[in-house]
Amino acid sequence: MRRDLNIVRELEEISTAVASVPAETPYRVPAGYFDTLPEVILANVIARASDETAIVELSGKQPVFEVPDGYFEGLADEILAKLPEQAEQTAAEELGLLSPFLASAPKNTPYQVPPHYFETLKIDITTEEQPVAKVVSMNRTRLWVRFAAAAALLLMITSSLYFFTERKAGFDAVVKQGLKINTEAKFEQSLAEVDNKDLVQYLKATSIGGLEDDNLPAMVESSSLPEETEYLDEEFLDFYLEELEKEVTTTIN
Amino acid sequence: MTKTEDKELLLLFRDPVTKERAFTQLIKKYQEKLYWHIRRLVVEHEDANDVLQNMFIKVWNSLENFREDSQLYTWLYRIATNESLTFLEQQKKRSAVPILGEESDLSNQIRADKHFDANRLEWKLQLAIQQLPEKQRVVFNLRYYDEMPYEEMSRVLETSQGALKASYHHAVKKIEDFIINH
Repeated sequence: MRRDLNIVRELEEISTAVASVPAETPYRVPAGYFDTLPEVILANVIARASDETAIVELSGKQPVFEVPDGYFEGLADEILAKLPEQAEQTAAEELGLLSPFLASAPKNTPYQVPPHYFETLKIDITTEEQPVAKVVSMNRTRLWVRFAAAAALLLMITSSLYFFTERKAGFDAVVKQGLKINTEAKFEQSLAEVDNKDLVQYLKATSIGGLEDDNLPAMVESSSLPEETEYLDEEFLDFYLEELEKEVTTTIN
Repeated sequence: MTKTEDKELLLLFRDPVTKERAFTQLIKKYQEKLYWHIRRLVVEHEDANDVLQNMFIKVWNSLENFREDSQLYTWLYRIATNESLTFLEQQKKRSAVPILGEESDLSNQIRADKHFDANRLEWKLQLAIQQLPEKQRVVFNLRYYDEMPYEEMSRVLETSQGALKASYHHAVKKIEDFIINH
């Protein structure tokens, strides 16, 4: 075979050893292979083209193939009948079908184990106790918080009510006291405005048990009116009237 | 391989009346070159035959739309190369020795050939070629066996000429090293 000189020169520049190798492929070809190859390829091409046409026809939803009568009725039973046969197949048989290479490969795990590992492992399992992990419930914490919150709220409400009522009571007392003072202050003011003569006449008219009319003015003049602070006390007023009566009785006698 | 012949073949192919005749002529014209290109990559004849058949089926389906922006044989070589590399990829996945890789598998197939002779340089060369990465193998084969110009090769492999020259250079060096040491 005549070679391209440029190719040969290029090869010689890179490697004279390779350039010296005969550029012939040593592989053999079956006799007459190339003689029949074109017809074989053409037949193959046409056959595939026909298949594609059949697929196109099928996709046009035109039934091309026929199915035996009752085929689908018995199909499920037929498949089920085959299943137990396959189930009986062992793992080794299954592997043999899937991959003969793996089936023939040794099943030894190449990993190394420290000496006496399994012996010590047995001992370790029997003596050691497995620590029990502490379980912290989230719900419990939440429950406690809930109770604390409820108690705090209740305390707040109770305290508020208590303080509110106390204030109200104190306030009422102050208001009452104030009103009393105001009423009594007005009474004394009115009494101070009354003329002594009128007072005497009143006393005569009302007659407080045997009092002499002539002595009344003196009695009124001489007796000291209670102090303002004493005037407020009912007990003192009663006492004062009793004392006044005693003086009147003594004067008469 | 003249352009005129290829253009005529294309015209005949596009005519339904002459389509099959044109296709047969096309196969006869390129079958050996394409076969050996595939065979040097996949090694076994049965595998090369399968790849070649698949390749021409694709040609039958696509030739009508061939844009003629490159030469017909460049286009055919591209399909043949892609089909071969796809086949090798599938073989790699199915390989019983995935760790060692496809190179070891093909080397074993070469040694298993009944005509194999370890003392003969052409057999050593085949073993050396299997040590190369796939694409470098293709570059070497196209340049060394098919004597394809780098310009044409760059269209087949869609790689720059500079990269192809460098790849070819490295491939030759590796093969030299293998032949000397084995």
